[in-house]
This record gives sequence, structure tokens and C-alpha cells, in this order.
Amino acid sequence: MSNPFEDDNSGYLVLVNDENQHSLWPVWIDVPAGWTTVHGEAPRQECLDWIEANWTDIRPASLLATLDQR
Amino acid sequence: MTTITVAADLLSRLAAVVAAQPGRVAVHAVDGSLDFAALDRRTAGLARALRAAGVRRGDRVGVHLARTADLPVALLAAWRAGAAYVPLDPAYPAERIAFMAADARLAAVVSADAEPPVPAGVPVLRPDAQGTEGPAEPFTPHPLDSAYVIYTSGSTGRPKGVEVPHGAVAGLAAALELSGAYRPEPGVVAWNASVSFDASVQQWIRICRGDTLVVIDDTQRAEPTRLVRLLAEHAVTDLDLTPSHWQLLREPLAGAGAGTRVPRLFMGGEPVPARTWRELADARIDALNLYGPTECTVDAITTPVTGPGPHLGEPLPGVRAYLLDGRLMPVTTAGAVGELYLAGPGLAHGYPGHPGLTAGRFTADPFATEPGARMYRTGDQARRSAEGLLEYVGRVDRQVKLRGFRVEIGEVEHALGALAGVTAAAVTLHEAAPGDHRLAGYVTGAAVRPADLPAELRRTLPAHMVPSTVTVLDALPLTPNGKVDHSALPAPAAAATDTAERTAPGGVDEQVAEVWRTVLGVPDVEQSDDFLSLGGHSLAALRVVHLLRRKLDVELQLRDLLDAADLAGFTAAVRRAAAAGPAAARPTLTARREAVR
Repeated sequence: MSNPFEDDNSGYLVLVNDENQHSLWPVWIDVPAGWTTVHGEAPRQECLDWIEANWTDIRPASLLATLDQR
Repeated sequence: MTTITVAADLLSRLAAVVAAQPGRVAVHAVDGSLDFAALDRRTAGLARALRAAGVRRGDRVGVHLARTADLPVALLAAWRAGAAYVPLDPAYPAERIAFMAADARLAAVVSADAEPPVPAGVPVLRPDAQGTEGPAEPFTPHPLDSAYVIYTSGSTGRPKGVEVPHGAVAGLAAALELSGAYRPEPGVVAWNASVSFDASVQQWIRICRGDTLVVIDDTQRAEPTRLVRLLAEHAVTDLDLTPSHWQLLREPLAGAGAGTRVPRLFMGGEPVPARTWRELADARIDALNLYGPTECTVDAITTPVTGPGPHLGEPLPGVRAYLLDGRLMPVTTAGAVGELYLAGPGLAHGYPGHPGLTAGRFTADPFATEPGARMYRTGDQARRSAEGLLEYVGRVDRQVKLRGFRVEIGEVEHALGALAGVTAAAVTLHEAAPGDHRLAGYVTGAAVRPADLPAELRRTLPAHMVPSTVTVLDALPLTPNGKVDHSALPAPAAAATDTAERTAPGGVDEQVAEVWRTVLGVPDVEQSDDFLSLGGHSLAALRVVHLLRRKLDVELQLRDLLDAADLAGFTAAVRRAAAAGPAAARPTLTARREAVR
């Protein structure tokens, strides 16, 4: 059983939700509600590299906002 | 994340216990006991000292302490200071601690050592540090505030942290209460797991609901008879352990006499072998099987250990479990294998410092009712039996291809482990010659005849899934966390002993060396080898002593191994013990009502 998130020959998207949490996503599966595409379609590794460059703190955005106010 | 009501945060629950029952015992440890009032006083003082050292909400505090009463104090103090704790087990190599400390960007470290191996410039506080200044009102964590970062081994060779929020930890406690795993009345809980292993969270947080915590230190943990005495002494009601650890405890527990009751067992960390499952079920021992990855906050799926064989059970309240195929479609056919995905408020934030890895494992959840939810891809395979039971099958990342055939190693292990006489089984892919990959099977079991096993396996498995070799071992090698260490299994040729050879009168020297090879998972040992430098740890040492006691019927102590300079020195100690007389009788589990001693 292959995993749809591990296919180096398939195209991927980068999705983001309201908490700025990012998700790798196979381009051939419908994007779930509450997520928007911010990158792709692109090869898997390119999507992962994009996430590494653009998502610097993996904690939810609403938490980071309250920490900034301290 | 609105599927269940937000659980009360654990610091508020602890404050309520402190107010209601200040004189109740909160902690028993080798260095003394604390009642709830003293626990509260000490954590408040250390939290103020951490604040004075610059720790703020959102920071991380390293906890570098042995298993003493200081440990729960420091973990709670980190929380009260607004920080997440990062366990830095002093038993770990200094290099690994230094890596974790730097990777986690710690704001401070609590340590009893003057110079713990942490980066220069990080404030180091003693566990008895007491600040005098600071806010009087306790910190109330937001559900998204981080509670801890626990490091797990990473496939890239470096440990990676898993960052878990307070809401998930509070939700775990509430879910275990709702499911009945935690009894309503306060219990006495043994803290058995290492603080660097997330099973420890399920154990120590129970202090926040008013349970008494018995902190088991490393020497108590390493001596089954001492541990069993400790359980009886404190009337421990709940014990969390791996099935492998149970194998070491079952005999001393059975022999402890009619006055000792077996605590409720929380079994997790690795699948419960079929034989252990049946043994516990038949003896009507109160045991729970708990399944869950660190990424989903300790426990996600549970069931009482009852019925004919191992299964995972059903999701805890608030947890959603999906069995999905390679197109992310639900697997609904009985017996069909799918990958397990978990969702709900118990999900970790992810892997700090590894956003790519996080985004590939914590993905958008197409099945959630609330938009924007995530699910965690466990890498664990499972199936629904014809009876509807969710059964663990194996890891997706141990799938191998042999001569074009796709083989799930987990399935081979299950089949091997289910054969009569086999007590535990492991399978690896062995490269007999360059490009010549073969399955190598390893089993334990006193009466097992390895030559017969392949033929028996062919009854249930296609030929390409039957291991080329089956090696009988005295024990499977374990990681420090008590899981089977597949990477430490010996090469099949080096350990290809059949029963006849194994029971041959090889002499004490050879038998001791054989036990070292088995437990350490090394092909060869020299008389001048030192146990620890060959990778031995406390659980491994315990297994060596345990196996030799059984094999040679000698009254051997753990000290005999730890005090010996090398294999030659230890063998001499074994000879002395053998000359001193046989070990005390060890009744079996079923004989415990008529205790022999």
C-alpha cells in the first residue's frame, strides 16, 4: 500500500489553514474545507522546501499572537 | 477543535487538590515524600526562581534530573512559570543531551549537576532553588500553550522533538477518566517510564487529579523483586509498563504472595504479544492495552486486555481514528489492511524546527466536520477483523520487496508470534550477500523447535513471506524504552543456534557470553569487553541477570553485573553465585494463590 504523501513522482500542493498550519497535499485529491492552496502544484521535495522556507514556527498563529503581546 | 468540551487545565486541577487535601501524600520517592501542600510550596518557589532567571510564557525549560521527588516538582514548576518542559534524562549520553538542549533553545535548565551538558549561557537552576519575588496568582495555561517537547528518534539519524500543547495533555487526563481507565477515586500510581518517553506523561500528570505518585528510581526499576516489594509497600493501584517489562515482572509478582495484588496494568509502547494477551486475560488480571504515538499525546486507542487475542480497541473520547487506503479512502472491508490516521484535540503542534516534516505528517483532515482541522499520519497499519476488532498489523515503513513480492514484515512477525511455543517474535530483512535479501526470523520460547517453524508458517503465509532462517534467542534485544530493538538483532548466521546446540553443556563461560550476545545484539564478545561500553543499559543488565538466573539456576544480583569490570569478571561472579547454591523457587503466574514461599 503506497502512501499518497510519499510519492516522489506525483504533484503536490502546500495548504494553509486559519492557524497558519501547513499541510503537504496530493494534487489529485480534493482540498479539504478550511484549507487554501499557497504553493504548487509542484514536486514533493519542492513543496517541502517551500514549507521549510516559509513556515518558521510550527505553533498555531493564535498562540503566537498572544505570545507576542506579552 | 470543538468536538469535546475543553478539559480543565491540569494546574487548576492541582490547585483544587492542594486546597482540598493539603496533607494527602502527593509523591513518594527514594529521597523522601511530599504532601500536596509541600509539593505546592516547592513548585511555586522553583517557578518563581525560573521567572527570576528570565523564563517567560512560551519558553522551554530543560529538566535534567534523576528519578527523585525533585522531578515532578521541576516539571510542574516549568508549567507554573509558563514554560514547556523538555526532559533531558541524565542517563542519556552527554552529546545527545547537548544536542537536544541546543535544538530546543532552552531558556533555562533545572539540574542537580553543577555543570550539565547544556549550551553556555543557559541559566542552570538547582531543583531546590526558591524564588521569593513574583506573581502570587498561579499561571493558567491556554489550551494551545506548549506543555512539553519530548524527543523521539528520527529517521534521519538525529532526534526530533514533538511539541504538545496543554489542552492535549488535559484532554488526555479527561479522556482516560471518561473511558474508565483512571478510576474515579484517587489511586497510587507507579511512575515507571523514563521521563523522556511520553508514556511517563500519562503516569506523572495523575498527581494533578489527586493521585499519589510513587517515583520508581533506576535501581528499583532494574530489580524486579525490589520493584514488586515497592508496589506492595505503597499499595500501588496502577502500573504502566511495556509488554517486555511485564515479562520480567510476572514471575516475581506471581511469587510475591497472596497479600500482593497485581495493580491495574497500563500496557503500551509496543504491541502486546498474543501469548501475553492470553496469559493476562486467562488470569483475569486487570490490564489495559493502550495505543498511541507521541504525536497524538500518549494514548489514542484503548481496550481492556480480554478476549482471545491482541487488538487495539476503540478511540478514546475526543479522538477520531481513520483507517485509510492509498487514495485516502476509508478501508471498510473486513481483514483489509489500511494505514491508521488520528485526529482530534490530542494532536501535537508538530516537530519544532522541522516544518516540512510537520506538514508531511500532520496533514489536512478531509473527514473532519470543522474546517481547517488536521490529522496525523501514524505510519501504523491496522485492519478490522471479521468481528469488527481493530488490529495492529505493523509499520508502513517496514514494508519490503522480495523478488518483486511486496512483504509486510509486521504480518510475518504476527504469524511467527502466533505459532505454538513462540513467546515473542521479530523479523528483519537480512542481506545474506550483496543484493540477496532474505527475511530473518527471531523467536523466543523455551520449547520451540526452530527447524519446524518455517513449515508451520507455510500453513498461513505464502512462501515468499516465510523467513529463510529462524533463530531462537533467549530474549529479544530491547531499546532503553523497552521496545524490541530490531537494529540490534544478531546476524542470523552468527546466532543460528538450534535448540540442541543451545542446551549443550557449553560451560558457564560460553553460556554467559551467549546471554551477553543475545541481550546486546552483538555477534561476538570478548572476555575483556565491558558491558556498558558494548551498549548495555539498565534494562539490558536486568535481562542478563534474569536470563542467567533461569538458565543456570543461580541467585545472581544486578550488582554482580554492574560491578564487574568486564565479561571475565562477571563470569567469575556467576561462578561464585553458582557455588553458593540455587536460586529461590520461582512460581508461575497461575500458582500465585498457593505461593511457594
